[in-house]
Amino acid sequence: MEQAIAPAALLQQPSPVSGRFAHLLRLLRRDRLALLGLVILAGFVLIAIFAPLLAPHDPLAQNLRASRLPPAWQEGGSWEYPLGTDRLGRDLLSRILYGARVSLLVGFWGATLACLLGLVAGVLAGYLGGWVDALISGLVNLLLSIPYLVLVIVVAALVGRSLVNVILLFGITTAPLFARVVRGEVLRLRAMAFVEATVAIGTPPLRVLLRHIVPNLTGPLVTLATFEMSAMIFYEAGLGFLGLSVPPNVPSWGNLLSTGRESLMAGMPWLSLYPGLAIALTALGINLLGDWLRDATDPRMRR
Amino acid sequence: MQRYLLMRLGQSLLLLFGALVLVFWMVRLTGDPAALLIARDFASPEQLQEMRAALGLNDPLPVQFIRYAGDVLRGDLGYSLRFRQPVRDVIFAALPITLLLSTLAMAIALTVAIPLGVIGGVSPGSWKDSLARLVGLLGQATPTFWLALILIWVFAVNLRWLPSFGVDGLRSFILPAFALSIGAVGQLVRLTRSAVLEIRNEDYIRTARSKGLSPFTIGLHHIARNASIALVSVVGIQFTYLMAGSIYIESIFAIPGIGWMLNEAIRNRDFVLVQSLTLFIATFAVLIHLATDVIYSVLDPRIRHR
Repeated sequence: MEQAIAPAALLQQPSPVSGRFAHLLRLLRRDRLALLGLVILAGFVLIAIFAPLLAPHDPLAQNLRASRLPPAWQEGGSWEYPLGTDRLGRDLLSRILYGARVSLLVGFWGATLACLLGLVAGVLAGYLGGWVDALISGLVNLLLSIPYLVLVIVVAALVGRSLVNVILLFGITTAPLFARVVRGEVLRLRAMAFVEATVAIGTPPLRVLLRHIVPNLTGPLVTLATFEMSAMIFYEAGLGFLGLSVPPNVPSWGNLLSTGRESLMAGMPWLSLYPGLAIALTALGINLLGDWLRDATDPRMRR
Repeated sequence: MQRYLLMRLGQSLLLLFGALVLVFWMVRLTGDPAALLIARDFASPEQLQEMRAALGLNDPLPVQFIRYAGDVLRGDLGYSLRFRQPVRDVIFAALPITLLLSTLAMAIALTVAIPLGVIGGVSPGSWKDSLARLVGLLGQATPTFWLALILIWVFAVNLRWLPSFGVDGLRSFILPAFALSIGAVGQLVRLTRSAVLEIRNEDYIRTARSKGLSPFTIGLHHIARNASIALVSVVGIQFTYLMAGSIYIESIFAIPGIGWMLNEAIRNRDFVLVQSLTLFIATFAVLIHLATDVIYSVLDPRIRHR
């Protein structure tokens, strides 16, 4: 009975989002794996920010008298260069620490850009319908039908090597994934009773969109953005490995691995091993966090 | 059923047309194809002009597109400057190698992932389940090109058991296939495990249990059969990922398949080959997608009656 006489003012209330944040924090403390993921990611963020303070050497400084040094705990290693050096005597540890900057910048801004582009496209498609929907959905399906690695490699080869290009490339090519999720969610939410009710009492469409639909997209979008961030760090490393990412003199994890095969053959396996460990650890951390976010923000998983 | 198939076929044709338009414009969007073909800095303006006329680049874009589409439909994919052969011949020589590599990687992934995912899924919370989750997480977090380097270091450089590059019989495919499979292993373990977890809670499993069927019978006839439907829907897509991943793996191991060709084409700025390989891979992916949907609709009647 009470529901039947719910005053219009109640319907105008924004969807409950602020209370959710505190709830998320409580959930996070209960999940040890997710906490581990958060610690790993936070660790890499701190490393990226404070790289100049943490790195024992300038990542570009060459020292030919200290070239080809193995890690410190191996025979012939020196604690002055904890993870060893390359053939030009550049310090591997410093280069990996600075590499965190490239990876996290690409992952964060790439995912943010993709999220924003996908949000706009998906809302337009789902809310306007008609030919706008047909056009956007067609483009989304087309871009998603090409295996992603092929798409990014070819486009990267065409646009040239720079940090901004890499971010734009990932942002634009990943946007269809976000657009598809947003469109589906918008269609689902529009059909729900609370949205129909707000429309029925005469709320203007833009207000319905901004106060009732977009806030409810946060969960799926943040989850997807988290997973895409780790995917972008992966793909950036892959592009770097193939020589298609940031300029070759920038110490990124992918660029460090691009000489990996030659390093193995020249008896310097540490140059291949440690940058890859950094990539795997970061991806693991972000994925753990993403798994937990997916379960925590999906009402169907809440028990 | 027929309506569903016709609709999917129509969608696929539209996607193929879209892909054709996309690769046609992709090269043109970034500038002058003639300048891409010959080094801009070394070519005189007259040479560039000559090249443009020879390639028909002075015609209006729609005319160029129709000519391009006609060529592609007749099977003429252009001429590769890097390999000095028609692109079609290059692709046909490379395709079997990539198909073999991807199939091996898929076989490894399925052999590892299905038992692990099922064992983990039927006993959630046990150490077996923890193992399945760990493999799922590590599989997804390990870059395939890095694993390839590690495998080369251990098995080719140190132990000298297996070759580290080139094609010399099936042994040359062992390390590449293992390295390539790692992402699919992670994905498929996670998928199998969650599918099994979900099916375990279905009503028909409870019925089977209350009938007194043994856990083994239930696992094989009820859970595994239904979980396999979920697997079919992703195996095809995973296969296209594996083909894409061969760009890394074939480049590292110097295996002359599709992925190695694409990398070579990019490094040598052979844009005719880049264009055609992209179109070919996209076409392959669209067809696999279509085949997956057809098989899926046969296996799961709920889809085709929608």
